Amino acid sequence: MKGELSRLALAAIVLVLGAAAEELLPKAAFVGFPVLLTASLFMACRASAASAVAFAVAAGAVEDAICSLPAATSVSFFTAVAVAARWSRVPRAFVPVAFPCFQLWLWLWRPDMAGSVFVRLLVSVPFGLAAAAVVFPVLGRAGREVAIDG
Amino acid sequence: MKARTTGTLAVAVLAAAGVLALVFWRGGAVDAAYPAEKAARSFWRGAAARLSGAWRGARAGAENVRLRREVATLAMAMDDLRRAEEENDRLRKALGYQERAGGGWVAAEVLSRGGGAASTRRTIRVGKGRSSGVRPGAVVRVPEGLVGVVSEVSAKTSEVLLITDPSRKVSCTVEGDGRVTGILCGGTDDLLVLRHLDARAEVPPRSMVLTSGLGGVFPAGIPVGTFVRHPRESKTPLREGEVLPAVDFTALEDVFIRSER
Repeated sequence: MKGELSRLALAAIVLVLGAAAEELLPKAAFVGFPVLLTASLFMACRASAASAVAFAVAAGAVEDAICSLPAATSVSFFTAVAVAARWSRVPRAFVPVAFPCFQLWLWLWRPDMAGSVFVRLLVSVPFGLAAAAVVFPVLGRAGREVAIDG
Repeated sequence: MKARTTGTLAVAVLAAAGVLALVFWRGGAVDAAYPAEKAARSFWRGAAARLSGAWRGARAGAENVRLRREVATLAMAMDDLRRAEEENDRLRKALGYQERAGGGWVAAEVLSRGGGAASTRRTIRVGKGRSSGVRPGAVVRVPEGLVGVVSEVSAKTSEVLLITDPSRKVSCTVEGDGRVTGILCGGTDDLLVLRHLDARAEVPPRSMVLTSGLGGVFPAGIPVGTFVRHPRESKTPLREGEVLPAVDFTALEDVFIRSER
């Protein structure tokens, strides 16, 4: 039970710090570092299916709240990506494409969104990779401490 | 074994409750991140203030004295204004005019720009919310001019939709010989677009653009920017122009929100 509580606490800390980091880190063309999406991809690669889906729903809810998106916009995308990555043979292949796909998903829901969708697509690739380069090792280290693998 | 299963179940229920709370209580998610944001923001502001203080040395002391005098002068001006406002209220009552909306301006620190990693609107997040009397739809400005309107509120923070966002329309008047009105339809941080101007009206360049008060969201007379030019002359009687914003949206540090208190 102590291990489960530690994992829950880690998930809560990641959500809070991820939301703060997304708001505070610099943005280009309205695109920032997708810390929460990357964290949910990490969970899809490493945690149990139930934990990965629960984390994806929670991370999506936080993303919806801080970006003032319509309810379930990010929740549905994060969950779909987590499920697809979880059952994919190469889950890490989702890292470079997940964030650009999220931009397209947002554009479907809000065609009048700020900034050009093409610029957002271009910018989202390096931002997604940069976020993964930091989030994966950090969460990997923290995950080893609380035995996140499932 | 049984105790361990019960414990695991309890944690699972706790996790499910947490996930559901995040899904249905959006303000909670935003407020949870607020302390970390506030701490980071305060750290950087404090460090910048110390560095600038060390760099400016004696000049900072002189500026401090000048600012103290200015604050004292403004306090006296405020006192005069309060008396004038009371007199105004008495006279409005005597004439049977509708009472003006009460409330005051709440100073709020800008925490961040434009939501999370995937913001779709031009917004800023500020560090005052429902607990400070801020409500959705409240007008946000700085001394230089109009900033935007509060779009979402949590207990500790508010999201402000900037007037640069195309979804935020503002009815405006251009100062000049006649009353020329137009609708501000967003733009960029450097240039705003004013549409539906009457093509027959002559607007001299560098005229002041103010809120007109029509539409009921923004009070009349708040500066929006300076009219620059008509970018394209059309054959229709309505045309559009460009406005240089009065506010530097890239350097906002503190804003003032109209509160109901």
